[in-house]
Order: sequence, then C-alpha cells, then structure tokens
Amino acid sequence: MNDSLILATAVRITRPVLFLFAVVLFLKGHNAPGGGFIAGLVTAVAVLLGLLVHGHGNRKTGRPTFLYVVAAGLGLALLTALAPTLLGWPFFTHSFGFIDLPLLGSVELASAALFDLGVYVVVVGNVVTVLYALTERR
Amino acid sequence: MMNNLCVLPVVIPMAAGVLLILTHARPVVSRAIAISANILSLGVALALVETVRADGIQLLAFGNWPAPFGIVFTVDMLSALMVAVTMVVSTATLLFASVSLDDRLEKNFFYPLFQFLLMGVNGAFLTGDLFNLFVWFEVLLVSSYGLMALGSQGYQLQETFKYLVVNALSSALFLIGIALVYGATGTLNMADLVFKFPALAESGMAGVIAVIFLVVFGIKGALFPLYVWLPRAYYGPPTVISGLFGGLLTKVGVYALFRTVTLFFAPSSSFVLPLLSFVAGATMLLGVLGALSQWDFKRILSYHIVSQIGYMIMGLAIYTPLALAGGIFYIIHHILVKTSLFLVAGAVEKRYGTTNLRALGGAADGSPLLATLFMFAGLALAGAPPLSGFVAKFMLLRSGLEAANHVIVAISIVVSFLTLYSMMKIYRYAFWREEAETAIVVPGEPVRTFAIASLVTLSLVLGLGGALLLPYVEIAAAQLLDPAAWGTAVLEARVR
Repeated sequence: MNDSLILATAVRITRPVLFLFAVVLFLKGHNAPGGGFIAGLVTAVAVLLGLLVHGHGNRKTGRPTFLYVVAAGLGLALLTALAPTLLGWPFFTHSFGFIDLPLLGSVELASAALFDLGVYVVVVGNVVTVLYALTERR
Repeated sequence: MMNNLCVLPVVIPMAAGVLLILTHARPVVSRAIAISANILSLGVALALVETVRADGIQLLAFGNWPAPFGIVFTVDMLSALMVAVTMVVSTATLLFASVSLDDRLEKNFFYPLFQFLLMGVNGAFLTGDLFNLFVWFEVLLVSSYGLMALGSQGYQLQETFKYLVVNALSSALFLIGIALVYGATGTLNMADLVFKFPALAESGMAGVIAVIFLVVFGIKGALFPLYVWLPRAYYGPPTVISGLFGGLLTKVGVYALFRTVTLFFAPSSSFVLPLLSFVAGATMLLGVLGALSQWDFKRILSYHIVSQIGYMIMGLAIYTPLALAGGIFYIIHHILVKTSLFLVAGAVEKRYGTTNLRALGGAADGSPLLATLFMFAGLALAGAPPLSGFVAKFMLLRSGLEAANHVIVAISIVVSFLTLYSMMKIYRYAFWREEAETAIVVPGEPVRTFAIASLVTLSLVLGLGGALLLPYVEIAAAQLLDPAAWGTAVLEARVR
C-alpha cells in the first residue's frame, strides 16, 4: 500500500459519518426508503474505505470470520420469522408495540426490525467477505 | 387450510445451512447435522403428502397477509410429491457424498451449499407466487454455481462460467416475463392470475408472455433446442454433485412448466400444447442421439437427462388426466433412477479412477452388486418391466394413443430402444470385458452401495406396486387440470 495522506485524512472523517448514516438508514427503513439491506451496503463501503487506506495489515484473511457473521445474520432473520409459529400464527407474522422512552417519547418497537437487523448483518458479512476475497494478495 | 407445515421444507434446510456454515471446518459434525436435517425434512415432506391427500390443498400466507396481497405457499399434491422425492434423492446423495467426497471439498462449504440448494428447490416447488418462484430459482442457482465449481478444476470453472452466463440470461428473461405479467394484470399471485390471465388472450399479450416463459423454463429445464448447456456442465463437478443436479435441477424447470402451463398458458393460448408436443419429441430424439456418440459414463447419462425430459413434457403436451398423471409419475421415476445411475458412475469412478468407457472394464467381476444395481437402474431408465419406468411409460403411451397423437408415441418407443442400447453399451464396456484397470479399494463402499440400492429398490417398488403411487399422481393430475378450483381454494382461504 502506498500511503496517501489525503485519502487517509478524508477516510478518517467520512467513516464515522458513513456508520452514522447507516444507522439512520436502518431506522428510517421501517416506514420510509432505507432499511437493513441498504444500511448494510453503506457500512460495507465504510469497511472498503478502510481497506483502501490501510490494506489488510498483518491479518491473514478475514474470510471465515465474516462468513460466521453471515451465518449469524441468517440465523437471526430465520428465528424472527419462526417466532410467531410458536404462538400458532403463520410464519413471518410480525408484531409491534409502543414504548415510552425518556427524551424520545413514544417509540415504536416492531419485530420486523429484528428481521431487518438480520438482513443488515448478512449484507455486511457477505459484502465484506467478497471485498476481502477480491483484495487479497495471493 | 392455513398450515405452518408448508414452510418447514424450506426452514429446515435453511437452519441446517446456517449451522453448517459454523461447523464447516469439522466434516464429522457437518455430516451428522446435514444427514439428520435431511431425514427430518423427508419426514415433513411425507407428512405434507398425507395431509394434502386427506385435507386437500394446504396454504400458508406469510405474515398473515391474505392471498392476492401477500406471498403464499400453496401446496397441492404435485408440490408435495416433488418435495418428497427431492428429499429422498438428496438424502441418498448426501449419504453417498459423506463417504466419497474429498476432505478438502467437504470443508469448502459443500454441506451448507447443499442445504441452501435444497432450500431453493423446495421453495420453488411450494410457492404460489410468480415472483417468489423467481427468487427460489435464484437461491437454488446461486448454490448450484458454488457446488458446480467445487474443487476449482480448470474444466469445471470454464463450464461453470458458461452455466452461469446461460442461467443469468434466462433469469433476466424470466424477470422480463414477470414484469410483463405484472404490467398487464397487476398481480403476480398465481391464484389471482388464474382468473385474470385469460383476459389477455384477446390482445395477444397472453401468447407473448407464454413464449417468454416457455423459453425461460426451456433453458432451465433443458428442452430442445435450449439444452446445449447441460451435457458439458454436468460433466465437470464431482459425480455425486452431477447426480443430484441431473436428478433434480432440470426437474425444477419442468415442474415450473407443469405449473404455469396448466394454470395460465394452456387455457389462454391454443399454440402452447402443439408446440410443447413438437418440443417433447425433438428433445427425446436429439438427446438420445447425442448420447449414442459419447464414450464416457457421465456424458452418456447427461445426454439421457435431456432425452428423458422429453417424456415428461410429452405428458404435459397430451394434456389429459392420464397423460399428466403419467408425466408426474415419470418425473418421480426419473429423479430416483437418474440419480442412482449417476451414483453408480460415481462408485465406479471411485474404484477405477475414471468414467471413460474405453478405459473401463470388468467392473462386474470387481463388484457384482454394483453391476446388478446398474442393470436394474438402466432397465428402469429404458422402461422395462417390472421397474418404475415401465409404469410411467405405459401411462404416457396409452394416453398418447387415446389422444391419437401417433407421432409422439412412435418417437417415444424408438427412443426407449435407443436408451436401452445406450445402457447396454455402458454395461458391456464398463462392467463386462476383461478387467482393464486395477481396482483401488476405497473405504465407504458399503455406504455408497446402500445409497444406490435404496434408490433402485424404490424404483422397483414403484414398478411392482405402481398402484401405490397411482392414486397420488392421479390426485395431482386432477388438481392440475382444474385451475379454477385451485385458484378459488387459495383466494378464499381465510387468514387467522
């Protein structure tokens, strides 16, 4: 890796913004454009920027680790979809409720968000796996 | 009838796949998880078949959204039978693979890919939504790319790439077809389409859409003239994987044809059935002629996949209750027998290190049981009594004669003899003659033989006891021929 001071500085500023943007997209996604998939992609872009600046460092490969992340996301999504069947509802039925939080007021909690979190984790794990595989030096 | 059982054939492989990613580095644990998940899914599938027989069509509206709005799984007898036979052959294949595959390949995510493939196949059989069907096709295709390239040999990668391009093209076309359907009718729910699709017949849109879908499923199901990708692609991967693909994957395309043609295309466009009839004959004939010129065990079998698909489409094209029942019987028979033939090829390859008929010889001396199993499976493929192929072909021929479709009957008889010739050729060169190669004793032979024997025994049972399966395929055919009843059942089901 040839070090570029400009790129490194720019990435240092943009990465936190990207992570925050991902959070905003994820939360907005329940009722507006956004959601786990796109938030996962934005997060993966942040990871890619880090790779561009710092390279792989001394890490051998991140592949297996991030595949476990994919498995975790798939598992979370599947369990969320399966949960209602325990109560006799059809697969994938979602439920929601409102909860009062200090400062924020009434906030909606929906089980669909858990599924979306699963999607987010799968996308991050998957894209990062691919990025590592593509940028690896053989 | 709302029933969460419908989704289990998808959920179990998915859950197993997730676990298997975590245990991918430990083959022993992976084998145990994969095989037990398969047996569990097999049990669920058989339960589904019985439920459908007793209570009729089963439904599951995902998220409790009723039919035309949400995605539904609709399980009629055809779907249930397809899932059941899928689980039977995949369990046998998995047993075979667990003692045959290289340790390196097993660790390279064979088991997770295998389970995700099953998830896609089962999903495609169960869904009642056109777009969802596309999604399941993609799930099974993505897994199949991984399996096909497993081992990363040069030839494999080259053929996998072609397979990928062909399938990506057909998927794009599939999507265009779906967009046209949605644009013209405003719905993608199959039950809803049953009532809305016929209105497109006047403007000619129905014909356009039918042609697009015939091409898409023709590519995926390897029909004339779109089968060229198949024989080379199925030669590349390890033989167990070819066996599963050869038995199962093209049949998902055939299933999709059975489903869409009976629901929308045949009732709305008059050219569909004659076209299918022509395609069926050409597929049979050209597939078998391709096989005649080959000198490799696996390649011959691959060409026969193409040829056999013609028979299934013949049942669809004749379009009488008996013909459809025969076609469905044929699909089930074919999946069992073709997979067992590929597994024999795999077992022979394990012993002698090659599948080239010119280099093989004398396998009957080395392992008489394997030779016997091959003989039975080969005869079943050709359609000799008392095996399952005979019952299936008898039903098809009889329905063809009743419908006075003499050309296709004649072709199918000729092709049967040519199939027999091909099987004799394999038998003569691989199993008879003097032993050309010295056999290597490889561990796991009893398990491999058991896996093959269980499939061949099933073929024998279905042949001798054709009456056992007959009521089921007749129910399936009757349900296919009455799309209005199917559509009403789906649309009027109440959510909870």
